[in-house]
Amino acid sequence: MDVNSYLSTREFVSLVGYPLSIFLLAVSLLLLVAANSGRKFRPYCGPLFGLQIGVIGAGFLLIIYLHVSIMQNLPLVEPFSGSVIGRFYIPPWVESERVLYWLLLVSVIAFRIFRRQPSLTGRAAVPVFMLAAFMVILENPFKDPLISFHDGYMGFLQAVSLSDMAAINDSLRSLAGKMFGYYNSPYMWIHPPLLFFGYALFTISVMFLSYGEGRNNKRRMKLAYSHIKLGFLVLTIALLFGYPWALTAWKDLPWWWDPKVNSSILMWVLYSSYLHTYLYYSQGRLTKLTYFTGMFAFAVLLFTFFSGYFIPGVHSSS
Amino acid sequence: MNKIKNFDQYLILLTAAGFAAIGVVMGFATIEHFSNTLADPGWSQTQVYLDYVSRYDRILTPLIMFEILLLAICIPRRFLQDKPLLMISAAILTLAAIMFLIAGALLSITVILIFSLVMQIVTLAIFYLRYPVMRFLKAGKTAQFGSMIAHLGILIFIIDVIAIKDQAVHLRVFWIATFFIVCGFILLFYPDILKGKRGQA
Repeated sequence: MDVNSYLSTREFVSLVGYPLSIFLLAVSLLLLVAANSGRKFRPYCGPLFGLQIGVIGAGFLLIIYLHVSIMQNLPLVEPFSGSVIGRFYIPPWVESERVLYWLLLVSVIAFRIFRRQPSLTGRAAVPVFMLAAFMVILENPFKDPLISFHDGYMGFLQAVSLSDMAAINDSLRSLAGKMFGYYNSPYMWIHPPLLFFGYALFTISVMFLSYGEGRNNKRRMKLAYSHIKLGFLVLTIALLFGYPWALTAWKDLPWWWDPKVNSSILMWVLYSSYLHTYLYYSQGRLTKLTYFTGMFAFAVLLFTFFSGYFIPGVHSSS
Repeated sequence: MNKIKNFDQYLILLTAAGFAAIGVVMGFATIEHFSNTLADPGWSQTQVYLDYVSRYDRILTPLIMFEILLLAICIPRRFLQDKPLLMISAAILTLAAIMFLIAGALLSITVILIFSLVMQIVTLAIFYLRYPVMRFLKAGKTAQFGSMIAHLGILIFIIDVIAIKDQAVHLRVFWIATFFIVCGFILLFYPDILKGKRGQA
């Protein structure tokens, strides 16, 4: 165990990562302006996308560096026997890091749209900027990296240093539970990344839906559909893999009819409705219903994501 | 043919309406969960939580039944004409209502599910034998097959969660359902995948 090494790494990641995130926001803003300023500035979008994705990549390298440090320097040790219970193998999309991951995916998809349909880059750049702003201002993974894990582990060390038996037992049980049921679970490498991949696809799709459902927008509605189709497939796989994970990790916890579970199912149901009614959209029928279902489904996606901050439950951070 | 198209459209609208109703239930459940947590943060360890779960399970059950019934009607519509289709739909609804009155929700759902499962397997068999008069909304045999497999997987999933949730075989059946659902959706949405081409919308 080398707590000082971990603390130095964490400080370094914060020191380098935070200004990097501000730079990322500036690049996103430039991208938004360039993408929406007509053909004259559109050629700059390519290099700006490259820079955006490169900066996010650099951010992820910092995050991985921190996670490796945690794995190497912060084993979970039984304080009385000294035996190592396990090590933390934390994927790079926990706590506020997931927003950076979401931003990465949206940026890549938006870049793809720029390459294939340059005229639509303007709208695609909007969620890139909004997510970057949200991440930097409210959910910055570099401001206080992995704060929940950090506080939990430091609390455990403090309890050990004070020889507080009750606190030691509580924190050890909590950390061990999180290690095996959450951080080190193989489902951690399937459920969250697929969910956010689905979110990224739905985020881009709503930009196409925002043009409206009219006859002139058939091409954009078709693009929205193609993104929602893939997003729905990915969301379905993610939700299905969430079920056995919940059975093992939360077997003694009240997760059924949890708010996040409810809203996730609602989101799935709405996108399923959209896909059903879209079957008639190409025939010129159920156009308004299809359009409004798609828009409402995205509103529910936002509610599903943000509910974790405000509505307590087993899935939430509130 | 126009009548069939309208019947199809009504089924789609009813499916969407059923989903909307399920969504409303989810919304109310979320509000109640939040409200209960504000009143008593430890409520999920009390009988109040168990009553909450049981009540919403009871509210959701008829909506799930409704969707399953629509699925049961959608399956024979692939190969039946108007009148026989309407007759079999009425027969399914009547069977469901009788089962519900006699044996309650769980058994009636289970019977309808098993009936739907058998119908889906029969449909798959007929598809395999290339029965000519099957109708689908989405062209292409791969997409048609994918749709049937996906809906079969959903049926297995619902049977698994409702009828065998507490049994040892539960998770194995769940993974079988997952396999069918995922493969079905991939073939439905990307029918050209088997040919190694980009999928078409």
